[in-house]
Amino acid sequence: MTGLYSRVIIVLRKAKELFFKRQPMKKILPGLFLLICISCNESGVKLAKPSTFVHYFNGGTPDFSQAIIKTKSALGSGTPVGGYLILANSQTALTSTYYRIKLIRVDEYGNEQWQSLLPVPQKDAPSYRGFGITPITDNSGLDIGYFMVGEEIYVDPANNNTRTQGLLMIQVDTKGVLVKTATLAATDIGVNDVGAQISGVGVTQAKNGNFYVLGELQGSVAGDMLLAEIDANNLTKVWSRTFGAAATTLVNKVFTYGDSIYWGGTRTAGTSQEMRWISTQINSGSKSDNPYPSGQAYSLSNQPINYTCSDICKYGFGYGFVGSYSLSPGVFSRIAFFRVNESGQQVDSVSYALPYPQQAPYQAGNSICSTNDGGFLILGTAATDISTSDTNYILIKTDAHGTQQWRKDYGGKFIDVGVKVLQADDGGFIILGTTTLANVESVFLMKTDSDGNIQ
Amino acid sequence: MKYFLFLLFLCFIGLNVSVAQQSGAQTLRLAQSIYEQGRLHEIPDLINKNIAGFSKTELVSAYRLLTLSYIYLEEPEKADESMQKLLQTEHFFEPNPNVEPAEFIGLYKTFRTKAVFNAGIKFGANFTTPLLNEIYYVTNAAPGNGKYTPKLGFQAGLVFEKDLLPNSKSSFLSKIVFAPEVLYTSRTFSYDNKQVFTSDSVSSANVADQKITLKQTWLDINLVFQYKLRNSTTFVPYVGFGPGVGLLLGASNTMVTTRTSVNKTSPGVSSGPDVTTKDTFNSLIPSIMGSAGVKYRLGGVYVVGEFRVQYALVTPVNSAKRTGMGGSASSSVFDYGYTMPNYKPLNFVINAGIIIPYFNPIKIKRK
Repeated sequence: MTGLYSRVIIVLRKAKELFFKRQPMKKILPGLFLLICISCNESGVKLAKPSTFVHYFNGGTPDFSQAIIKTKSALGSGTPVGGYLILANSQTALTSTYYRIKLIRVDEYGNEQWQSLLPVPQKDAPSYRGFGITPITDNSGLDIGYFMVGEEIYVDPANNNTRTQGLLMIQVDTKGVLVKTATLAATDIGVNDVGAQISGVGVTQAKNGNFYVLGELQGSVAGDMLLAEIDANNLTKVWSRTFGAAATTLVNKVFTYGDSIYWGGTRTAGTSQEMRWISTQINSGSKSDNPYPSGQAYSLSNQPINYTCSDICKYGFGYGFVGSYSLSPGVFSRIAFFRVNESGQQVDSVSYALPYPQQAPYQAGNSICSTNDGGFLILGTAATDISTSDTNYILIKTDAHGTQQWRKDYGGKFIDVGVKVLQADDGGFIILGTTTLANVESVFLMKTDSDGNIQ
Repeated sequence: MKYFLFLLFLCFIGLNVSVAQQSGAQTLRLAQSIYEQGRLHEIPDLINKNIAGFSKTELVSAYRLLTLSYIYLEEPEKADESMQKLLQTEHFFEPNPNVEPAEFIGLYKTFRTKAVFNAGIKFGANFTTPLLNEIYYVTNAAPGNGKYTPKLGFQAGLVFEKDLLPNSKSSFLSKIVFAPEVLYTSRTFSYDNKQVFTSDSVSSANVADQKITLKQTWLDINLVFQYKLRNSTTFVPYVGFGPGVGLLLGASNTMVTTRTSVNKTSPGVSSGPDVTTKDTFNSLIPSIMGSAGVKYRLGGVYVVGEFRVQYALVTPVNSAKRTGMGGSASSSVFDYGYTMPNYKPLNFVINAGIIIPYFNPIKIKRK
């Protein structure tokens, strides 16, 4: 044993001599030790440029995505760069019921370029939400700004100082800096009901540079929808009209073709709901109003089927619609798809099953876009259990008639809600949603390839 | 009476051992004396009759005398036989050139006296530092704010060594050893990002952080070439270099993403069981390594101490499956807001080991 001990001592001495008493080793060893201890910081390491990505955006309070548009604009004096602009509403505090508007500009790789909270400076009114956004473009097609519509909740002296909802309009430049803003009460825009609530839902730029603004009306005998042309210079009404006589939840898009303006949404009358597609002539004010599905509101042993409409996309000269199919109020069991031709006549009608019927407010079908190959891509939200404690995003790729080509689902173990889908210039798909990360809702942006894969 | 018989028995055993020891030493002294007197033909009988009573050390001396005797009796085949027995008895026997006759040294050199190969085990600890090439991220404020830190891993496995050209006349080539090895290796490092989201209301204030421990197990197959810095059988310092390939056996992340509000309360935490991330990695990763170490002979085995640096030549992350879509690894992205960067692991390894040489002393050439 003593022999073994002495041999071990000899080994250690020789090792010490070899590694510590020789000059080069004396220098190398501390360096090696430092290398072991070194931490590798991300700072200064280049960002990847992935063709597909998943990004979350949040500022500490719940954020709810609303809309996304493609954009191409110069950021400062540099070359114009493509990307996307996200419109979201951000709660003012973790448990608040009031909101601010958040704009997030990202490049084509989803990297944030700027973020803007509006309105700035903060006004006295407690809450602002944006729902619809449109780019303001110059003659070359480059964006020179963005125009949003939504709602402002403010104290109305004309209505006994009660809190009133007004039509909020905000214009920003290509860096998200406020250019102008205005809030119009219902009485400012041609609705002569004191106490009527109005919120802007959709907007598009007119050929003359003004804006066509679509709004939802509540508490007005004049109707439940409002369409107005707003002067781009001073944000005042040029003309306005009201439509409808029930309660309508509108899709946040407005389409124009020639002298016609189109929009749609969900019309609720009593306990029944149906998709609605409305068009009007700018000059004459005549309108057409089509419910969908026509003639199919009652089926399945006379059980009423309700259809809600979440999104509309242009498809050639026609349009595609997506929403939810419900057999009992507040429970969505299928994603509903319709396609109409240029005359507003229904061409195709398909529905897609969900794994579980899901509870409101999680609509089954959320968004739709036409695709380069002549089909559609549908974004939906699907519960992963019977109690809707977790939901995921689903993408359904279809042909022109709604026949499913592939279907994929994405998401984590918390609530994920689809909001909007776009086709990117490279053929991939951009998906906007609201996700829940560590108990706080956040903006979700995902890009897939043309087969719905993320790498 | 019983105690008396037991003591008697012990005394008898002790006496026998003593007599045997005395007998072996005496026989050797007698044989040495006879050898010095030149009565060489008496030595084989004397040694062969008493060979069973020799200890290992005595046996080495006995075979040495026997070999010398046969050399001078001009019985080369018997000399070969006794030399082979000598080398089988003591694998590390080396004749002293200042003492031994040239004929004896000449005969020794006709035998394969070096180990045919060595085999053994190695085990030790490692630290892995991910050298970042490109950042991929999920949460918008994360890029640039994270830090990867090495953590302690371990490895253990089998090593095989063979002198590549032991009989080369080139001093350089004769010192090269091919030493492939198979090691089960666990590699661990951590990711800490204190700012995955920043506050909308307080400029640059952190409102969420992330702590992740990344754990991987690999089967490393390294084709190491060692260069012995000293031609010794007792103390052998060496340096090594060679390629390797790692086969991924498993990968998982322990992940926690925590919300922290500006007033330091935590509105929520995302945590849970380890997330399996094997799908997000490539299965085979080539690497190169360099090492420095020493071998010290303790009896019939070598004890090894070694330091090495291993560098992966490609990123282990599979760029086509980074998010692990469709598998459990996607939880890393969707539930915790984290995705792997492109990196190349740099491993610092400290190994200890035991190497057992295998000898087969056969005659390799005629005199």
